[in-house]
Amino acid sequence: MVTYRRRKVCRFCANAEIPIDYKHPEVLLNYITERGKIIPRRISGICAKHQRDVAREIKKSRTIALLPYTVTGR
Amino acid sequence: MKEKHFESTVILKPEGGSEAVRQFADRVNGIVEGMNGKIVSFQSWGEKKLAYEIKKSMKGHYVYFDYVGTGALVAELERNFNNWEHVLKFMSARHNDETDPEQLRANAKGVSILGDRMPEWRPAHEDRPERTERPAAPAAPAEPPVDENREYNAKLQSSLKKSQDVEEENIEL
Repeated sequence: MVTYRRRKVCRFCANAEIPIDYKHPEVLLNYITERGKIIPRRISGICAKHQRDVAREIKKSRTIALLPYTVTGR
Repeated sequence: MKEKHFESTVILKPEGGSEAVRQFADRVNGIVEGMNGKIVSFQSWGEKKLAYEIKKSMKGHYVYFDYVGTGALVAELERNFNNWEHVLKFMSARHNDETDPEQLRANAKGVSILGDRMPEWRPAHEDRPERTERPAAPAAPAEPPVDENREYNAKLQSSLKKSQDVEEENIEL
């Protein structure tokens, strides 16, 4: 059986107004898992350029404690 | 040295409250002015929960400011942040926007503290009218199928009656 999966459109290409910035953790929160890991491009569906931006800003956001490095069960 | 646009985010100990923020702003302004820089804007993001513990604290008062100055100014600010007791953590970076530093200097708002919470990005709802139309659209053609069924039922019943009549006729025969 052949399954087709629709190619996701990059959210940031579709809407240039969405800020990719460490000061907006509410946007970046969509691109980390419950455990705090960065979601890979093949799953998030963002284009390569914006994935690089998102990854960079998530790391900045972590530095200033707006996003977690890890979320443990403790 | 060439001037650039920088931004710093600082987490202060939550105990101090707005008074500590005021003091912090004045001290920062002193250093920036002293090194011939200029604060473009100064924001308070209020007390926020930290994503992880810093110096035994799970809460912090976020302060954000952007300024025009040289790299030496950033180094001097960071040296001071390290020494100030009420600073939990800080991060300085080049500002994203490419506006000319001279222009920023002219439009600078200075140390007047803006806001008391973090500015959040919300999507502009230009597509909202479409969304309200969409559920209304399927509601309109929902009626006709009932009518069709009614017609169909009526036809079915009449044909059944006919067949019954025929049967009755057959019996009679």
